[in-house]
Amino acid sequence: MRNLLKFEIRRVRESKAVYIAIAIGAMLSLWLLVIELREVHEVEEGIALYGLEKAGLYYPRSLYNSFIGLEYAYLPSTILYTVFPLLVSFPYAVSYFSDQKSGYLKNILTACDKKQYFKAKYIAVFLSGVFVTFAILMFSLVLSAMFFPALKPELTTSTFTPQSEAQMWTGLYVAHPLVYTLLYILIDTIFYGLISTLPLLIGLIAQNRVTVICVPVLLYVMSDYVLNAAGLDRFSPMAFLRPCQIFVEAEFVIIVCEAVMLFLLTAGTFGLSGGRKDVL
Amino acid sequence: MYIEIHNLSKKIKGVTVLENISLRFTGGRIYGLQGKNGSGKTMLMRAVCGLIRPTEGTIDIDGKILHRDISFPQSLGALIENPTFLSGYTGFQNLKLLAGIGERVFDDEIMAALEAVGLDPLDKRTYKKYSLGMKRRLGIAYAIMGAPQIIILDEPFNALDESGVLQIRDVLLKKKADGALIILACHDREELELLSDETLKMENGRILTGLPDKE
Repeated sequence: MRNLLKFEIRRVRESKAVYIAIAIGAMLSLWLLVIELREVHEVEEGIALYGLEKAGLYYPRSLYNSFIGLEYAYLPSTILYTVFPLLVSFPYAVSYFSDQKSGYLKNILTACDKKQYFKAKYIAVFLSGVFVTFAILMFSLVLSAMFFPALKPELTTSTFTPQSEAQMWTGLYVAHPLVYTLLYILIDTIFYGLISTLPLLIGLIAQNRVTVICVPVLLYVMSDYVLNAAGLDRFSPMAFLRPCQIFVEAEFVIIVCEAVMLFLLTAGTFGLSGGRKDVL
Repeated sequence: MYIEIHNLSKKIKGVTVLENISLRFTGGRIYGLQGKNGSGKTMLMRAVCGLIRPTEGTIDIDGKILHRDISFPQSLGALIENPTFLSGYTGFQNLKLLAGIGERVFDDEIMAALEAVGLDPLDKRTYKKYSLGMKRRLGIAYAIMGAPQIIILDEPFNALDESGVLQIRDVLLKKKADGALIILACHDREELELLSDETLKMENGRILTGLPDKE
């Protein structure tokens, strides 16, 4: 098992796709930064031109409403949180399907225990998703921190979210915004890590690579649409995984329950069915 | 070392691909599998490698039942159908990566396997730049590296030039002399008969002739 895990982790480390996914996330963060800096520049021009009295009260942009997870108004953050399942899936999760199709899987399975291989593959894919998510979000956080002060959220300005008591950890967000942000990054990292294992499941039955890569993101977007329509948006990962909790009242218990269910579904099915599956 | 197959049958989606096969293979011999496309040669090899589960029957490898006591033959080198490796790695890097999975195979053993099949271990070209023949040689090198006790080769001579065929023939005879149990499938009847101690003809998933002697 240890050797297999080392083998899989080495493949993750040396996969160019992992770095491409992180680069896409980084580009979205840079795009958001440009938009935010332009906005700051325009506001400052307005203040210089009309003075604060005419421009109105102004609370400067903070790290805690500029970081891609906490920013809710601009396109890059919406795009990132919509395509996250794709970014975590295509780098390595598709490798099981590709290895099976190309015949490389036979090289591996003639040298090791099948059950151990499926365990190692699952762990490696999960870690690849964790790594991609963590790298993108931390890059964005550090990038925002380089340009915006870590001013505490001022809810009366209506530019900071979460802002309602009914939303998860709002008190923590106001009192210790960095702790809130880091905890949410941890939640996202684990949850998207689990979502990245979905292609393993789909790879057991699917016939082409595009299906394997695209089905998780389609499920993610469609479930959001359906749950929203049914007024159950707090159950939608696409809604509750955004740290700004825009338009949703996330609940920690629901997040944990869905993570556990996702783990049982992916690990259980891939481990059990995969171990019994014939390799042709 | 022996492999004993008892009443092995395999059905895939309702189609019988192997039917009631009983065979015994022993170490230090080469067994040739002969038959048309779709006759079940590759499927039988997959079954012996542990890649497919029998619908009925058992495969006993040195007293251990495959899929019950062990999930794959412990000392196995196999080339099933077309060899595939990671395209961005050299031949040596590919074998080293795979060698890390199983029992420890040292660098010099990998180099020796590459040299034995006529590949340069220091070749810096990546796998995607290999010719068909080189890819086939690399697949054979993977099957023989680390001196496995069971070697299974499916069409090893495909895409090889004359010198390649001679080289691989020498390698197989040497492995046989070292006590390895070799199962070989090949369309070239002459080559197969030249190398094999026993030739088994397969048709529609069944063994037709040449059942090897039981020891």
